Amino acid sequence: MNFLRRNFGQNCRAVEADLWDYAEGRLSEDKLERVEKHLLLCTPCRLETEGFAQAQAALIEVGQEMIPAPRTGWHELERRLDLEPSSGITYLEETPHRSPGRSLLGVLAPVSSVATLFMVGILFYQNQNIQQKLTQPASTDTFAMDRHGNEKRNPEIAKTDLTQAHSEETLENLFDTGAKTLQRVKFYTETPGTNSVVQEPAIRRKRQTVSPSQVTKAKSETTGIISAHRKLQVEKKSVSTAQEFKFHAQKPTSAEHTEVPVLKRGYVSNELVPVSNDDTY
Amino acid sequence: MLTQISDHDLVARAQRGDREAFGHIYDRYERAVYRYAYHMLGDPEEADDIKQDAFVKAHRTLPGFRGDCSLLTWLLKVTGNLCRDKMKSRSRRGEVELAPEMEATLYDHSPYGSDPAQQLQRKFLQGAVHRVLGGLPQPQRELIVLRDIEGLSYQEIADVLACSVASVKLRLFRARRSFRERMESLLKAN
Repeated sequence: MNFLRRNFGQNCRAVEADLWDYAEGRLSEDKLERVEKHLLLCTPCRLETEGFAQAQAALIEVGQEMIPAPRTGWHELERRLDLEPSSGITYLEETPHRSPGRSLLGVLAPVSSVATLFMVGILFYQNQNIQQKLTQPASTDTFAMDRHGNEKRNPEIAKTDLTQAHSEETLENLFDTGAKTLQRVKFYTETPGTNSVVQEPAIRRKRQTVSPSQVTKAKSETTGIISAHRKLQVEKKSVSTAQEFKFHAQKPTSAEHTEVPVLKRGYVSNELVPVSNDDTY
Repeated sequence: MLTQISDHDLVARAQRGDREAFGHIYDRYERAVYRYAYHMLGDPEEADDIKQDAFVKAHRTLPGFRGDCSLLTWLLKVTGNLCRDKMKSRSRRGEVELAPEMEATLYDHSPYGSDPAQQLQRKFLQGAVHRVLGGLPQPQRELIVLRDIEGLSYQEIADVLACSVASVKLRLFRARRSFRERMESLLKAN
């Protein structure tokens, strides 16, 4: 029974697409015979065909329906075509009307060009400001945060402290410049967060806008200073030793200079300890 | 003189800027475009607007027409797109279509002197078809209008809807079945 039903269903599916055309009387000879045979045996398909025939009759009615005439004709369309912006068709006679789209474009074009120039000016001004800030000396903050969040003494200032004690102005200036430039070069070239380079907030902000050419320029400027700095290292060392010697020879006058026992190589020393200078580049 | 000329030549002349040739294209296909829009939208005023919009658009894009399909098919394609946009905007605004029975009453263009009973029966049937068509999903309605009211071939419908002939046949079969079921239930209810 099930087999018969399935077989029956398959036959229906084979002819169902042709039922509309059959009701319309448009079926070809070979299909007509097959559909007619099926309709003799299949009541649902026969009913469906009757329904199709009724629907077709109704649709034919609608196809022959007198529909209301349109209000507008060619003249209205022609007037609209005259108002339309350029369509790609170049007509032989010139249309006297200028389309609203074109006149709007004529107003917008100069406004947009002025706006563009203004934007370019702003960008140029900002670029100038950045370059000017980059050439300015670094921040004079004494302390900065390292990558672990600890407060670290700014090495630049620490070096400056030492050189302030020195009487020779030339040495101080050269060393100061070299130290600052070295710090910048390290900052630009090293990955942020590695090698514990002290990053000043001001410089960190600028970092995003510095171009590679500026880094190269800074490096080349620094090369000369580094070599000068190395030459002066020996002189500086001797000067700082002399200064330290002088410093230790003096009596402590303030609370900063407390007598703290420091363990050094297995023996206790009662020497006064100066401010440590463990920040190195 | 231009009434004898083929579509291809009319298009070529219109593309060169001959406004008169475009006018003849309008005269030739205005009615088909209007009828299609009318059956799709069910409103003569909207159909008229769509017809004018379709010809304006056709005029604008005529230089791009390469003649891959017939001029009528191309115009119906333009009209169909505009009708779809109209129906979308209608549904967004939540507008309700005018009842087809009202349409039939408002626009009575039947020839004078026909049998009133027959005329009433005809009006009822036309109203029922409009109502059923209005209730069908837009793609199904489009197929039935193009095939069973406007009488386009499968190939022409495939060109208008930008799909294959096999797809048109399959979708049309479903649309017709859906139309028949709705029509039967409507007639039984009345």
